[in-house]
Amino acid sequence: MDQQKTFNSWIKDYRALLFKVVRAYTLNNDDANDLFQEIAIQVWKSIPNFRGESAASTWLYRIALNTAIRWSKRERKHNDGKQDFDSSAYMLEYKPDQQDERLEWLYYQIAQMDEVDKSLTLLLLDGFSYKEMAEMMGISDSNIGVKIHRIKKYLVERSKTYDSHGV
Amino acid sequence: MEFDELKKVWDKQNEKPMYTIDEQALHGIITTKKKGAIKKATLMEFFLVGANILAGGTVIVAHTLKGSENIYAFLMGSVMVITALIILFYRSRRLSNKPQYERSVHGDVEHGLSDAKYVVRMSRTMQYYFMVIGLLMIFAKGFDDWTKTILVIAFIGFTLYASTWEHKWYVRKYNDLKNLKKVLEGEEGN
Repeated sequence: MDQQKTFNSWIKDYRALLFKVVRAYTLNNDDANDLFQEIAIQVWKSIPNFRGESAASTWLYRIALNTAIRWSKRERKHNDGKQDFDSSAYMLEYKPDQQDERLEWLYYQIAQMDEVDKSLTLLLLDGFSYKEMAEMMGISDSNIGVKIHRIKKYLVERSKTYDSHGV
Repeated sequence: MEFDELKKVWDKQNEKPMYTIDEQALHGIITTKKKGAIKKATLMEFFLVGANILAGGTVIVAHTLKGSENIYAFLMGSVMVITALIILFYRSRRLSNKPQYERSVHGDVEHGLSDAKYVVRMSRTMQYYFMVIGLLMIFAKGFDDWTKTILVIAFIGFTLYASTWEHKWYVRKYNDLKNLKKVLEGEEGN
């Protein structure tokens, strides 16, 4: 497998997937850039281990989520840690004007969740099966079912407040 | 909203990605890393040349003035001064290689990587060098007073241990730059 070619095509074809994870786990552009850089590096490193046993999207989601969870834990520990690179240089440019307000609201709700629920919500919204979620997150199927039920209920309940404000 | 509606809102973002990748900025990040690597190489050279000339020169002058015949001390001083000269030679060679890198982002990256590799090699070589200097230091000191000899050995051991951490740090910075270069190449391929 040509590592460079695979990396190029993955970043091209699945950038939307990676952006979702970045957006869900970060609150500002600095952090989004930092996390995207880290995910891109992890994706590169993971290519030799990809055996094609799962879909590339599943593989990338797993890497992106694991990296984001590790990154979040580290960021919490070193909240005041300085950037490793010149923060005036941004790899990612956020395009809020292109986004639906309801999507912004949805990301805000996801941001309130803990790390595991965040990951499960992303996977749920992207249509992954319970089995796939269980494998990716290392949680039993039944536990996934309980958590998903709770997440769905939470989001639907919160959306009622959103609807009532007529936004 | 019901969950299906939320999912529809979610799926819409696939049509309009919320970020665009700014490749110029990615280049900027790598260039910053490159400058860091060059700075590290220069600082290391100045420190090693200065320290070796000062220490080596002092040892030679002091023992000459005392009329000492301690061959190990003279050998140690000479090794230090010669090492400083060798580092100056490598520095001039490193600087003369600079024009071979084209004035482009790729050239910058290659230049940064080359200097980072140079620093990694130099820090490893300096560890071996310090072992030689350490042995000469022990022999120059002699074995009349074992307490002092043990203190010298402990100092050498500690310095070598600390230098392994420093070396790992340089290696990490080098790998960091290599990984970023791969990311850059990936972005350019798209």
